[in-house]
Parts: sequence; C-alpha cells; structure tokens
Amino acid sequence: MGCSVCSDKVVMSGFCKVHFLDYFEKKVEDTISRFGLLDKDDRVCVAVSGGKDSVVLLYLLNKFGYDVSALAIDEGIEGYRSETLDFLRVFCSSYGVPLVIKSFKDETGRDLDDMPSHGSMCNACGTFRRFMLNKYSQGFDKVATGHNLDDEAQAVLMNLFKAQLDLFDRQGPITRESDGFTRKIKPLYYLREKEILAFAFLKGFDVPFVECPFARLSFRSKVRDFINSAEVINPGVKDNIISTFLDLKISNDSPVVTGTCEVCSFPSEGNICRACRLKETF
Amino acid sequence: MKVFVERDKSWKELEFSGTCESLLELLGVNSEEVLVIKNNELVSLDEVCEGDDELKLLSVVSGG
Repeated sequence: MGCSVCSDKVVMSGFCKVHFLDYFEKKVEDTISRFGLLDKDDRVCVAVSGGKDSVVLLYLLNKFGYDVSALAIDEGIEGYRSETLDFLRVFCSSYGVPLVIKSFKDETGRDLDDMPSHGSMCNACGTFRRFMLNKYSQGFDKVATGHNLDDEAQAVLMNLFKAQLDLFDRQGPITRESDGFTRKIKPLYYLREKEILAFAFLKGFDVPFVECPFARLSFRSKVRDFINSAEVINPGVKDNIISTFLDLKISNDSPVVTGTCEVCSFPSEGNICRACRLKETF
Repeated sequence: MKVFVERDKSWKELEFSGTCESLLELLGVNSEEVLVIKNNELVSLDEVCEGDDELKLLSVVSGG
C-alpha cells in the first residue's frame, strides 16, 4: 500500500517522505489552533535540551513565524548534557534564535551529580528543571516544551500508578493560567516519538543521540517499556490513554490553589516550594 | 547484512532476508522504539531487507 496522498512508498504514518513532512507540520498547526496554544504576537520561551523533540519544536515554531527564544537547562550530569548543548549552540545560531543556558550549579550551588539521591535522581532533576523553566521564562507569554504523545501517555500512567492525581494538572496540551507560572504549552502533544525522530531525520537535523545515565533506572523507563509492549500488541493504546485522560481532565477541571514560597517567593503548594525544600537537604 | 543498533552503539552481522518488522522481532527490538534506516533511507516496517543491505536502528528513546 502506498502513501495515502500520492501512492509513493510509505516511510511513516501511512505517508511518503514529502507528505509525511506536510502531515507533521499540519498536525502541529492544528494542535496550536485547536487548543489555542499561541497567539500570533506571543513571545515564546522554548525549553530546549538539544534532543529531537525540542529541536523539532524550536525549528517549527520559528518557521511558523512566532517570536521565539530558546532556554536550556544544564543539569550538570557528566558525559551527558555538554554534547547536546554544543549542538544547540550551533543549531540556534544557524536559525538566528537567541539561546540562554542556565545551570543547576549556578542556581543551587551543585551539579545534579553532587546532589543527594533520596532514592531517585529524577525527582531532584525534575523539580529543579521545572522551577528554573518557570523562573527564567518569566516575562514570556508562554513556555513551550517538546512533550509528545508518548511522554504524556507515560506521565498519565505514572501519576495513576503513584496515585498522584494532583499532578494531572501538569498534563494536557496547555496548563491553566495561574499566578506566578508562565503558561506551559505542548505543541507536539499529538505526535509520537517515532514521528518526531522521523521528521528530524528527514530534515537532516543531526541531533546527537545521548541518553541520561539515570534514565534506564527510572520508573518512567519501566512504564515506557510497558506501554510500548502494549502498543505493539494492541495498536492505539497510546492514543486511547491520551483521549481518555483529556475527557476526564475536562470534566474534572478545578482551580489550582497555590501560595507563595517563603524562601524564593515563587508559587508553592506549601509554605516552602519543592525546590527550596530539596535545597535544604544539601 | 550489517545492522547498527544505536542504543547499544553496536554493529551486528547476520544472514537475513525478510521484512524489517521480522528482523526487529529476531533481534528482540520493540518496533515502537526504533526508526529503521536502510542504506541511509528511512523505511517502513514492511520494507524487505536482505543481502548487503546496511541497516541502522535509530533509537527513538533518548534523553532523560
């Protein structure tokens, strides 16, 4: 069976090379439009890691004519982040996109490698990354992340398995307006990881393949393996997780109540935010 | 046939003739986790690979 548009050889998602690229870009545009992710004059801070998702996201938002700047967070993981940051500097320069890099070391006094693990480095990493993304995107209208369909399906199940239903508020194509938080959008929300890598490959983005040394130990990696196995047996699992989640989220939406951290003055669920509580353990 | 598995950064040499999908099954690789590049071209899972074809299995899973 050939491409659903032109009958040429299929490479991905039922399309030939040319029509896959068209389909991909249109899907991002549709997601932006359908969920009202961006206004034309929004200033967008694009959270970039140098991986395929954020690079593709940055490329497309820039191509679509949005006012974009790139923000990268250096966690200070030896043998991991430096290669992607080098790639990012060249990539952003070639497209004329300003790039700001902030580090855990400058923010907290420590690289992630030097932080106490408390069982999992992912907890500390995620906490400080989210804190810094919010802090350094203040003044922008939106912060865009490269989260994709696979990421979101994994997150839905992870939060369900851990009974962390309050974290569902982070999920979805766009977060609610909330004082002190830059509104977060996910334009790649309905695209699969495979599709994103295919797009990057076909566009000739030579994104370095690097894997966080902590990744294979993580709970997320186990959930990912589980979902991917289920998807092979029963295609459509990922789509079903997302569509069911969105139906439930819409019908149960309630305002998020946050206070202000006594230490850093950023939003906090308690008197002291998670980032500051973690720093106290150093 | 030479097959490069990006996630392991390793090359394998094997005799094989069949679809990419069946090759992945033989190698124990989940098709959701790789892109198949045959002779530097992106191909779908039902592409036939054989003989002197060079395959790269690019890892979809990366980063953190």
